[in-house]
Amino acid sequence: MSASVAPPLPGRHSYKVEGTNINFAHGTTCLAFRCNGFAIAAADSRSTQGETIASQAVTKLIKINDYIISTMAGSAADCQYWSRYVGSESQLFELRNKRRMTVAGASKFYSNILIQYKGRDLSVGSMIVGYDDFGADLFYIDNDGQRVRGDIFACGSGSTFALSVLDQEFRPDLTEDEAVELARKSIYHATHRDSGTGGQINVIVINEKGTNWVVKQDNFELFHKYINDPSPYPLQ
Amino acid sequence: MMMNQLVPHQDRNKEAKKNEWEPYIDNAGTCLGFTGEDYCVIAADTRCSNDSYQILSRHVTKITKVTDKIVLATGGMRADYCTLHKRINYQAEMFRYKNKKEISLSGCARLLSNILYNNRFFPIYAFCLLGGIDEIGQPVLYSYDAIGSYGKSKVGAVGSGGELVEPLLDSIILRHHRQASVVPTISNEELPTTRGEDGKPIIPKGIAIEYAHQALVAASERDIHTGDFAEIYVITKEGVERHMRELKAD
Repeated sequence: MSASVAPPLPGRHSYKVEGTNINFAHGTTCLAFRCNGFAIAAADSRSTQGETIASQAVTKLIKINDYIISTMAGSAADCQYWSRYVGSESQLFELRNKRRMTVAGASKFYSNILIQYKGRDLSVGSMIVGYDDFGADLFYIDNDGQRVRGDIFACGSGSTFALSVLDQEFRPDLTEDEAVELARKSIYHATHRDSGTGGQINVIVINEKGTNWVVKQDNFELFHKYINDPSPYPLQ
Repeated sequence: MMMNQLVPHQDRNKEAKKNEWEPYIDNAGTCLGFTGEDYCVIAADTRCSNDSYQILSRHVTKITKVTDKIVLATGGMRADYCTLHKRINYQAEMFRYKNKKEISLSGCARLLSNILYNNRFFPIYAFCLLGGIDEIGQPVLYSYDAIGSYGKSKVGAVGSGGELVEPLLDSIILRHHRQASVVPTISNEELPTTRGEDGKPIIPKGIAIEYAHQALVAASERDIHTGDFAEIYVITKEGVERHMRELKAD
């Protein structure tokens, strides 16, 4: 099963609060998928405010706890704050129940918060990726209250580009190294085609040992890496 | 009613806009900050402007010293950031009384984020830079948006001239975008000679202050809302220094 849902983007990639001039971060590519025994989360690092690049080094993969990652697309503050909140609640859960929160549990908790704020212009499109007693798990949630379990998701303005690369080469029996390379390649191609996506590429592997930050690479290096790949459209 | 119908549609919209409640004014101004080896520099101009071309004041501070190791600089709406600075100072003071120690930089950063996000549905029109020395003695700078998203960064610039200053700092302080294949090699004569492990020049504190000043001079040259004076704070382990420099008053 595969699905891609971009967060609602009123206007272009910027979001304006009624009556103010405040633009919030938008424009992203995040992707996540799960294979046998592990899951991958990857994202770019560009943050835009309107047409300006506010930062090229944003961490869009937020640790909820040692075994769960949430990716952020939409308003940076909404994603950051509520991921933080779910993180602290998952810690409390662990202390109370002497076991880790499941990915399904964390994503439902997060989703329930978003439902409470439905219609109040929160802007969140997030993948909750993690590893729990039932294995690697992956959910997509957004500010409409939608919560879907799946194997492949991508999110944000560059998600369509990332998915087209990802879908072509994805197999459930990918090894970790292959999966990391595929994630990096997918995000790279999104940075190439979508101006809202760029900066560095971050990839995280989540398996039974926890989260492992495997790649943090500047896009510029990747350009030279992938430009040498045999291409159906050779450069002039 | 009849009168109303005679008014062209567009004009009616204009009429409606006039009566709309506008809670925000952008008093503008530029704040910038960056970290060095053992210091953090935060600077801002001291002009407070109207939404239009008027200058309301030339001697307005945008920077608050929260503790001996933390400094907060904010651009945006003056009423909002004055209140914000007051609230941060109050919280820092209460922390001092309750815990008999100063609030840490990362703690203060999280506190500021929470205050901003608590006003998510009626945002505080303030764009913040929070800099200082953290718990392990490292200089750190945090930059924020108006509703509390924040992150560590080596350089940061917010406010009306922020978009002008930030690429300048990227280039001068971080020496970004200077890979030989992108930019032809430039002469390094004017640069400090000592270099760090990554080959990038280490900027001494004295020169850092000049860079901060020059960045604001550059901003005031191209942004009408920036000018008058540059207020430069340097935070080191020893404490906070404050320097005042002149900018053009036009």
